[in-house]
Amino acid sequence: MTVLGWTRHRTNLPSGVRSLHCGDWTILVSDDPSIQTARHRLAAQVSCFDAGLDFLPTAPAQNIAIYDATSFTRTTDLDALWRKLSDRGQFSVAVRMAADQEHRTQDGRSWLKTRQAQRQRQRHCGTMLADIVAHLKLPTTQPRHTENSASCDVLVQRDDTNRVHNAMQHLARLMQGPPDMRLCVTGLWPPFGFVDLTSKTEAAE
Amino acid sequence: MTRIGTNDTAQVQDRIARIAAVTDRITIDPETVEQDLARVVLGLMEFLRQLMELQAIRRMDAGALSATQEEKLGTTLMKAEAAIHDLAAKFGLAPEDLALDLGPLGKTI
Repeated sequence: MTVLGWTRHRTNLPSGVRSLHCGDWTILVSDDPSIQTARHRLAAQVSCFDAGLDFLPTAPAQNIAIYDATSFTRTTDLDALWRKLSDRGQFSVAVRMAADQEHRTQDGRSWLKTRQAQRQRQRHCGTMLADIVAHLKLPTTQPRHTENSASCDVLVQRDDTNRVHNAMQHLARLMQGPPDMRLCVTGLWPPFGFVDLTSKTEAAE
Repeated sequence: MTRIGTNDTAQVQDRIARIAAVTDRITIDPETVEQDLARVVLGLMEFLRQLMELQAIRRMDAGALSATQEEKLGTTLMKAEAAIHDLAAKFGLAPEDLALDLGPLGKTI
């Protein structure tokens, strides 16, 4: 049995997904034995989301036992999460630059200069991402940085997705950046990045 | 509702890798204790090396280093990185395994 998330609703379940009632909450589970990996869990959660189901998703990488999923309904403030995330999804937004051409550096100076250029690219990506999400005035996760990209998740009302997506594309066009810099937006996804299962006790400490 | 670019496999894989990273906390397992300890120690070494690299780049940006100093610092940092990666490989660890998750503080590298 695979736990996919928690919901207040008991309808609109796609095929293969069933509900287990636990107090005010319904735990979404799948009995499909082929759901073994994070990728499979993600696909199952996306099909629930696309079916219009409003739910708090588990992190796909975490195969939560039904016992733990039940405990979370008592130990975690799911009500607060529900108020924050109900009827919302997330866009995953990344600003990327083309990777620097790989060349083996023989001397320390050119190695350091390569790293300097890399940091410069990271700064460009981070600045552009911060500028774009600041204009949106929507909840976002902390930015994540890799060698050639900066990314974060943006929480969006389901009925506002087109406007937000267009706004991001428009802002990216307005901003002056290096020519190889591009904005990548994927989604709408279930709001994985915003589900914080910190227990009430931990949160109080 | 729109889903944009979900066919971009690389992006989806990247996304899954990031979600998977949620569980990437430090764990010490009796079966893999040597590798786990190596991961912690080498992770901290790589973290410190990257801090030194950042400081060197800041000094380069400020024009505070001579060409000789740049060469010396660059060579030291380059060799330190190679040595840490070599040691990590001996314990079956890839460079990305050296990123330690400090929970709310984020990742070390």
